[in-house]
Amino acid sequence: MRSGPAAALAAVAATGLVWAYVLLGGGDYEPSRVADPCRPRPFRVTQAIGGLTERLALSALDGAACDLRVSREQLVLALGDRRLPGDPSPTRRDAALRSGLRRALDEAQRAGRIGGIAAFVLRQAIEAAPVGALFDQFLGAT
Amino acid sequence: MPTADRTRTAALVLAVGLVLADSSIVTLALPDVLRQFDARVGGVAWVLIGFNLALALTSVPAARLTDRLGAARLYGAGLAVFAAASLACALAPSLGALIAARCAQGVGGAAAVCAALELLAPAVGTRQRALGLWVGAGVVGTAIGPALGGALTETLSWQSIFVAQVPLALVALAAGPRRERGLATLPLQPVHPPHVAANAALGLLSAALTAALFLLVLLIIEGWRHSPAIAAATVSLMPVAALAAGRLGRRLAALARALAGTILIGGGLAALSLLPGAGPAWTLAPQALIGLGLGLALSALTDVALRERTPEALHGAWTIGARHIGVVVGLLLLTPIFTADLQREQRRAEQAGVAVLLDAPIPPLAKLDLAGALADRLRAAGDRIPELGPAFARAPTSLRRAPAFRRLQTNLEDQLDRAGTDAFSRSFMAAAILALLALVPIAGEHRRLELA
Repeated sequence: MRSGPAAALAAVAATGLVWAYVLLGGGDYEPSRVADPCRPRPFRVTQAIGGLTERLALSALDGAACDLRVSREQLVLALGDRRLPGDPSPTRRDAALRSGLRRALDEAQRAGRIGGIAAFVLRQAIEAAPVGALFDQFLGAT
Repeated sequence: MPTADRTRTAALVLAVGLVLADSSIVTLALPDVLRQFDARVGGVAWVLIGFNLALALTSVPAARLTDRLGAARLYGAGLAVFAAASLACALAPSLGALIAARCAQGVGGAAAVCAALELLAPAVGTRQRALGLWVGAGVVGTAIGPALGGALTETLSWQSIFVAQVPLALVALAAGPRRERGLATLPLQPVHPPHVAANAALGLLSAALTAALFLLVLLIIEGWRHSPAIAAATVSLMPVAALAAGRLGRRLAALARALAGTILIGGGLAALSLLPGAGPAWTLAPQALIGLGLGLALSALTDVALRERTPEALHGAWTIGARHIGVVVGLLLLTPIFTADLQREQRRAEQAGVAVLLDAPIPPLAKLDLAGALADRLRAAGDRIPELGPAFARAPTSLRRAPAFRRLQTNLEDQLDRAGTDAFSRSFMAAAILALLALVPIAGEHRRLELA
């Protein structure tokens, strides 16, 4: 047998398999991409107990991550024991956390989950409280 | 054929298969070696690189020595060194000692394999049949190595691979020829220069096949967290396909086998770089292509490199050198790509996992507890992909029964599978390119191969 038909048959088998795998999603089988923290997510509260607090915390993380130009997930990992890209100073990080908390309150108010008075009180607390230290203590306790 | 010749032939074939299986036999044991010596992937790769480099560098000098020492004496000495070095591998107290013993195995193995080619012709009667047996033993040994090593690692330990080689080498030594006879009296000064194109193609294909054997096994065990036995069973498809290719390729000319085989290996490796899911089943079709390609191309190219070239032992040594230099180049090229990608994918998997965890509809306090347990698993795993099961097992029973909690575990494991699979993707693609580069020397020698 000449080389042409055998090589052509092999090429058909090889490209056929590669094509089939690409059609089945082979090129995209990778870890999910994380969401852009600067794009607001729907303010949905799914848990009866602690659900609002959790939603506020997640929105705050989004806001802080957006302010620091990192992903929400990078920020969570950095709140543990990692360094953030760009290695922001503690002051910069605290400012970003405050900004995130403000954004979370805005979103909760717009979604009708927090009343005007509660939002006002919480806003004052955000400005006065040592946000970064409280966050670190909270993470240390967990 | 007289019984004595049959025994000698079997011993010689066993020796060739045993030595060349060693090029890949420890592949499945590498994760265990990695753990035992607390090493890194780059360091453990030298258990493979050391053997292949020693084999590649000493095969041509060993073939030249057959002239001075005699093939039978060299065969015996080579196997004795190989057996002693195998025992040293089993008893190695450190990674450095293991790598040194592997190099000694390579040196002894090179002598035995090159001398075996010279000794086979008088035992079987014709040079053509001797060549077929020598090439076939090498291809089967290389392809079957990972499965054998995996089975031994799973049932006993990685050391048992080397312990098992000692009696086999001694049997091949005892039953092998004691002195040369008849046909093995050709002059050892090279009459013909080495076949550059065939040897270059062999080197490139061997570099690519390293990926098929080394990376595929690591993907199944480290990336997808399966046992060595599962990995062994999975990769055993390749030698089966290689043997089938031997039958299929009988009617094909050498050029047709070389071309078709190379395209199949390249296609199979490209498919491995585009896996649409995690799990050994997805590797079966690519492995079938690679196995068929291996059976077709390696035997065809070795045949071309040796046919009508004397002295045969020297040209056989050139093919061994080219193939094992290829393995070393493949490991040196692909290991850094793979280790860098593994680190990158670990970071991506961590972020994807954190996203899945943060958005999971489970109570916030349970989420925090689980986050702590998962962080412990990540720390314990170090550079490797962690097992998440124990972190989930720590949760209260009521929570473990909740569908949302079970879904969370599935989603997190899916992210790990995706990261594990994607970490190998570029290395497999690089290997596919190496394989397809072998088409260049094959096409360049089109006329010569066609004639062969």
